[in-house]
Amino acid sequence: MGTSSTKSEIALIRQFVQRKDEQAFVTLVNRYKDLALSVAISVLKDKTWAEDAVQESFVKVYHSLPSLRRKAHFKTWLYRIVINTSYNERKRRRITVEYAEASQNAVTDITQLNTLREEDQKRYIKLALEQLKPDEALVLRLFYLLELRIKEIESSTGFSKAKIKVDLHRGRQNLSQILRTLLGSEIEDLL
Amino acid sequence: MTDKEQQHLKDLLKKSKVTTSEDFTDRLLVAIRQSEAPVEHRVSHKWWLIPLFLIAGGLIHFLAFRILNSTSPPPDWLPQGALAAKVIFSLILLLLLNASIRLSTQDWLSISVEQQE
Repeated sequence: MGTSSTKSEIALIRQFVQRKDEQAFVTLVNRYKDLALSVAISVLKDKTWAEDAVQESFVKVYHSLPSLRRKAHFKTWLYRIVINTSYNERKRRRITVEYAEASQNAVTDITQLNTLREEDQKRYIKLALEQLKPDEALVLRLFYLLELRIKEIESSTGFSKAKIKVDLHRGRQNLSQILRTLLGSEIEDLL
Repeated sequence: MTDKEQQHLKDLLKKSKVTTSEDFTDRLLVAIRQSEAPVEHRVSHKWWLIPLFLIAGGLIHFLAFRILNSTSPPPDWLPQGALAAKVIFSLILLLLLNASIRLSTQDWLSISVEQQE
């Protein structure tokens, strides 16, 4: 029998639901908390608010997990809760920011980033994602970071397939445009 | 987009993973305890107002109608008055119900934090 950390998701859910085993729930939280935070931060653009939203989401998960019928869909269900909570929080806090819009001929070459140190790369990606529209940043992270398929993104966000594809396309364009702008002004200082 | 570019983007976005604070899980468990304990008290504390209001409202309505109807002759605005009273009473009841539901589902802790802010 495997330890909690190596157990499958479904086994952990069963353990929690049937025996009210809190350790199983903590293992699930530890497995998904960072990814959930990355999702929430795409929408809220602020780590403290995003952490609050993720915490609220896990409280909802704790209470609603026993009623989840299709346990295999836990991951997309969790992300859906995180996304809905984040958008509600965004509405509640009335966050309005002007976001960057790439020109049609945005260059997709962002290989300049490879010449930077790991920490600087992370800083630039973080900055660029903060400037993206919430929907675009969210879809990019779900697709590339969480490696969800389009169908899974559909169920997690409630967005249509067409919107997801458009957001992916625009998100990629805008991301490269923002990175180019950021790198253009500062890369020489770093090299 | 080519596969190579896709892979490059994937590698880049892997670097955008954000890590939670060290005490996140502990704080979460505290929040779960808080969400469990006071719910029944909060709900029952607010919900008892509704049946009380219903009974009191019904009684007032009934008595007023009886008194007015027993006068000779009864006022000619009685049917309209009774209808208006029913509408106002229903609106007040709806507002009370709505307020009660919202109050019972809100987290008191977050309300007090907001007030402090």
